[in-house]
Amino acid sequence: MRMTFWMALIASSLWLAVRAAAPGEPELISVFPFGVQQGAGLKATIRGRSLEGASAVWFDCEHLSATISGVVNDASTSAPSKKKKSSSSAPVQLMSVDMKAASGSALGMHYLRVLTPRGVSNAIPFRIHAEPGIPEDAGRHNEPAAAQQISAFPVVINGKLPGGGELDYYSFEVQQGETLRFDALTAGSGLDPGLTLFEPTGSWFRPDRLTELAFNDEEVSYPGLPVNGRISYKFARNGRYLIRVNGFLGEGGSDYAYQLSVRRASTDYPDMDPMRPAHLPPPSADISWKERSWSRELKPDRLKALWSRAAPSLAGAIPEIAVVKVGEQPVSVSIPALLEGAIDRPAQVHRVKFAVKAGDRVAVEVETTRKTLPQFNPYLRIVSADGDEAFTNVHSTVNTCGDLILKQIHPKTTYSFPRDGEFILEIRDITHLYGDSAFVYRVMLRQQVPHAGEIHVAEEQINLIAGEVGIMSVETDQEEGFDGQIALTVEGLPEGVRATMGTELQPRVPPPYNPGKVERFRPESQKATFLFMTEREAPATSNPVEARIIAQPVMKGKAGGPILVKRILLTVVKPSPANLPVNHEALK
Amino acid sequence: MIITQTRKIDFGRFAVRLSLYTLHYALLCTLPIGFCWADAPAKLVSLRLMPSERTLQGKKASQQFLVLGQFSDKRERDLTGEARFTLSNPASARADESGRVFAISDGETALTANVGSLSARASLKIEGSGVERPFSFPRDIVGIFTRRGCNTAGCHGGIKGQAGFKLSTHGIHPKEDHKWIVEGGVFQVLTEETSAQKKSRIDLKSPEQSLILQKATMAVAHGGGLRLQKGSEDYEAIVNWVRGGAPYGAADKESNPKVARLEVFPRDIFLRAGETQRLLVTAYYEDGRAEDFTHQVLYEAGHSSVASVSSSGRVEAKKPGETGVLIKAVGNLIRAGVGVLAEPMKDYPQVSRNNFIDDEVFDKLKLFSIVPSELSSDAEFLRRICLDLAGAAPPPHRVREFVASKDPRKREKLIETLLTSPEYIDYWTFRFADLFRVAVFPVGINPKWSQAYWQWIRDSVAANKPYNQIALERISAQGYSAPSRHYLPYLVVPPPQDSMGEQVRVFMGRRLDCAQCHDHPYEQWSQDQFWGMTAFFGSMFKLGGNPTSVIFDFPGGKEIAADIAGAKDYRVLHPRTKQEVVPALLDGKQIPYTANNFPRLEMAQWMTSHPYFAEAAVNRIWSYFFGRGIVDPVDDYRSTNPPTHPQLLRRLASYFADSGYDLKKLMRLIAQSRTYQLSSRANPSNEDDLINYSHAVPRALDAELLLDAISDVTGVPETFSMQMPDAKGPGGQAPPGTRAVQLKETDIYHSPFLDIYGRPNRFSVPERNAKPNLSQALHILAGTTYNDKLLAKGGRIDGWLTRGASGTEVVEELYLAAFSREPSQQESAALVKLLDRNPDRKDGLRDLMWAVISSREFAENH
Repeated sequence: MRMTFWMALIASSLWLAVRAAAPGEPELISVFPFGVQQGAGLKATIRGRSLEGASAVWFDCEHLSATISGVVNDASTSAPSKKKKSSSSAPVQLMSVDMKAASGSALGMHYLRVLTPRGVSNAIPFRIHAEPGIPEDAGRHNEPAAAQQISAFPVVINGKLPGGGELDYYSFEVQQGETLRFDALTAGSGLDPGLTLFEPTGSWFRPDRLTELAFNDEEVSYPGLPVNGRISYKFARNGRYLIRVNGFLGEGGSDYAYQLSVRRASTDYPDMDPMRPAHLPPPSADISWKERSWSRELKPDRLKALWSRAAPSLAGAIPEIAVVKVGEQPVSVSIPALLEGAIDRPAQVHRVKFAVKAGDRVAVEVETTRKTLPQFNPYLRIVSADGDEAFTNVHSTVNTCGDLILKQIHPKTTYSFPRDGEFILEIRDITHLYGDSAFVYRVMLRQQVPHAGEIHVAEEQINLIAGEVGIMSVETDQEEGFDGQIALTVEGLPEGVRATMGTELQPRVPPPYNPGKVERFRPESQKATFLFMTEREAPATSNPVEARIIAQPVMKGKAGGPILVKRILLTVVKPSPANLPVNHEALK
Repeated sequence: MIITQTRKIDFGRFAVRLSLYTLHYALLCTLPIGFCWADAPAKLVSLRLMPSERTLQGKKASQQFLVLGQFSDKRERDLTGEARFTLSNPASARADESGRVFAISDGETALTANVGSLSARASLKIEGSGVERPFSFPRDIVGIFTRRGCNTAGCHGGIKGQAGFKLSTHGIHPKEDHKWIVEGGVFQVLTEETSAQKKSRIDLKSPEQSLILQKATMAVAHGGGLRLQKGSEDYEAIVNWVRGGAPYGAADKESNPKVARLEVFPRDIFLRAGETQRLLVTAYYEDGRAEDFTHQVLYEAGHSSVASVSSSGRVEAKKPGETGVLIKAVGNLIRAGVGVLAEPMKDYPQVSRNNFIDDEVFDKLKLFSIVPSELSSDAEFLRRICLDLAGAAPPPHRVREFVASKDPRKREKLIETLLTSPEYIDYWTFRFADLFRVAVFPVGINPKWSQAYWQWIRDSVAANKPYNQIALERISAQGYSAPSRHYLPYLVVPPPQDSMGEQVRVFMGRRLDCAQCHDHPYEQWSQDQFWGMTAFFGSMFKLGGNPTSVIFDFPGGKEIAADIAGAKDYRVLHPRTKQEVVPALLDGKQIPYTANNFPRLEMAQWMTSHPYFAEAAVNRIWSYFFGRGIVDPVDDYRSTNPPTHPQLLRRLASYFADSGYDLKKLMRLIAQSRTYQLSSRANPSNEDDLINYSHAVPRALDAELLLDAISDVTGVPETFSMQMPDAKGPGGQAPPGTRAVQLKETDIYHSPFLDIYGRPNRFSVPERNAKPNLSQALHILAGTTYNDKLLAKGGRIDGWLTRGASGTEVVEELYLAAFSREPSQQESAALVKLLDRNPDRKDGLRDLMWAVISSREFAENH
């Protein structure tokens, strides 16, 4: 599986972790340690709010379990990360749990929630790893001389950087020629760990001087990509070395937990991405549909997939799309075509000729299968035979102040040709300096298919109070001229709960200063609101109920197939005093 | 005894004997081999005439000759004023007593000059003596304005001219000058259009009433004073021109070729006080023809207290020093160097030399009778080289070890040790991070970017990456690469003229900024050159929003997706002509955009292989070791700011280029020179010298180095926090133990000390201000750095108190740590006595350390 796909999923999962809870509802901030070895157990502490009366820890995997030992207010003064937003003013609490990961638990990132009388909490990540885990030493090891000794590899060390400027040093011995890989992992706590590898060489000035051998803050600092540090280093000499973990810019905090993974390159343990989600939906599932992602897979059955989000009965025979290899020599294709190539040297331009008729409505989609933004920035330009630019995948807009033009490349562009003619699609990296065998692209040149695009539901869980109404917003994207309707239903509701559509006042948003040719790059969108009418007598749920949100496109009176949009957790709680905002003064 | 005072370099005691304008050291090469100073008067040995042959063309053509006498002291002197001149064919030409020959009729003749019993001959050919030269406005009218000083930058040749009347500087644009005079109008900087009502400055009906003459003769009030005498040759020339309808004359190359270049003889003059030398100026036209311009130019002496120059080009030496004479003709500027030598010194000592740096420096010192200081002591050298190569003073045990060593190669070995130390990487990363402007800036650039940029510098320094490669990577940076972050200082790509100006300044040592709005008033840079270079940056843009910006250049130089109403024009337009500018190198070579080329990269390749690049680099590195550049300021190369040692600069640049632009090799060469290793203790002959490297000149430690030094001496590391003292929350903090020179982006850390002592904000190419100020004095008295550290737990004083160190131990350790030397017996005795006298040991130690770290000896590199 491609790295970019993990990254997107990880990014969305981190977003999950930081979503705010409604006032009074349970909210999880972090768990420390945030991982355990497969088949092992450990004592962990969950930081959060409104955790009184918690009855269970709920995992996304049946092989994980936890027992709650107790909940106390956090006496420490450290504020939660500024990156986190909480709508609650409730004090931060500490919940002690005994975690167990059965041997059958899947390796990778899992999620846990906590059940309380106020409902189910948000999810926070929890990692299952194959390597033995050990805790960070209780004593300070913030100086090289006090470095914590690592005696065996592979190992995962669970550490924390609670204070500003805190450093954690670890020392280890290696043999000449050995290659070690170090990963400093974090899981949405706000910590941005950096790694520095040192050799304690001493210097003419200072005998205790360390010589830096390698440094890594993260592979690429780019929005949406992981902030984990990684170093892979082949040691030229036998000896003792040190690895240091610190927060970027030296920030520290109560939630700044990390896992330091140290392993030999030749280890028998599976060489998987440490942040890979343990449970992935199949790529073809509706729920994973990505319309405008650089990493969505463009395949010969793309047209079929698109029509499945419309009304297939209107499509007639849907062809498979021919795959055409593209290189430095221009090629001619007919639409539709799936183009594959690599910009394997700087300033290389690939050219593809094709013919259109006036009124042809085409979509050009790009997928970056290996390197992607910001390293590989595919720039697509469609020019007429005489060199005039028809359109590009670059969206120009004017900023809100009206004084700057912004340009952004997009993975999908639509265009209607005003006249017959031959055109050339140019594919290149937008820079002149970069290009290598990893600049691999797939470009799909096809007719537009009106269809339902991505359907967004922000909520991950909703705690319904008997006798009250819960709200859930759904935003639907209509792509490529889709002018039909999209039916929305919710299945699997708890007893005593009924979903009905409602209206909601939308905030007025001033029009952008100059949105440019927005229609080529953005879908039409509409918003709908579900109201969960919960009967006063509805029974409280003992466990969260998984409800499914289903969409069904309708075109010209023909209904398409159902599309599973999302699964969310619902609970019904009673309007007892326990569900009202807690009187924390009384708890002190 | 230690003198406690503010960190001040008291340059006031130096009477700057040598002028700032400096002799082209190349003149040394003009001295005959075996040149020597003799007590007895030198005898005249032979004569020669300059030029030895010449053809005079056209009516009224003339030629100035110089008579040069070769003397027994092997010097050549100007004897023109003492010579008698005769012509073999008086029908063809006549000669005046100054040695100027005027054509009369076509033919050939010989000019003979006699001085005493010696004579010299030159041959002359006269052609077209009856043919009037075609009138040329540039030559015949603008030439007058030039030699009368009307079109200098300080007068009508200024950016906006004077009193509404603009002339191009030194007549570089004669067509525009013609328009301003004949048609009138008030000049505007950014357009060719004129403002205000046009009013001609000439009167065709009554030429003598022309404003241009009325002003110049002071018939009408004129701020520039009297410039023309009524009835003078120049006055009549202008009157006749107006009377003739004020033509421009033929502008074609055949009829009126332009002056391609000027030459002056001698280019470098070498005199004793009281001696004189005439200058001979020759103009070379585009068609290859030469013409004597000696009497058609304006002469300006740089420092007239050193040497003056007459309107006819006669230089008179006044007092020892260096200066230059600027010679200005229409659209051309040239400089002659003038060195006035001191009286020769008897028994000038032999000084050993380590490499060619010493050859160049010591040869010049000898010429000026300046004796270099002694070789620095081991302790002096040790502290200096540690600070210069590694940014830190040596620890006490290394001082003892180095001073005690008998190894004759110990200095050489120490240099190698320092060049391979991790502290070298720290220090030079800091230096280049400063120069390359790594910062977060108040607008809050993504610190991930600034740190990536910093890390790129560090990796480059650690790998000793060739400097041309470093420069190339930065100038041509694109994508999301670390050096490309340089082009996003405020999250947006800066205006192309700013980016261009910075690259040229940092990597070529030139400041083109003046030429942005007009041709450079004093230099050769034209507005066209400025915008030609700017055009290389005109297509640079960023892709994505603020957090995701990728730098790219519009392919083909044309804006992509230019499909938005109100889009800015990303072509670079000449501000005056409004025409699109084609990217062009400073040498005029155009590199137009093609479908898929990358002109900025081609420009970067040209820039980093140009001789200017190596010269600018070595000069900058040199300045880090000597406190001033061979050209100083280091990024202000210009004809009016020549190098003190041009030959040294050239040789260093060649060495650097030949070495593959190896920074370590260059530093090693400098550090190994005796010049660098001279003592800072001056002798009577060199105490006033600040520019010839006759002794080490004390340099104030930069803020970061001083702070680190205080931390080292007190034994209390600095804590660098991003948080203001009264702020709440955890905030960020540099790893404990981080030294100031190790900070990745210094500007995000709150430090009053660094601010007070000159930490630059890096908004523009940093120019550190080493001047002392009142805040420093107050900080020494009451600031946290100088006071709180002294008695901090775990510090040096704490250690002394804990182990009960004796006064002698304390003084010795403190001197070694702070000054890198042992205290003298007198110092030690006096300070121990002071310590013992204080009833509170702690207070005594605190006061002693405060005095030491407040002293000049500590705060300077000397």
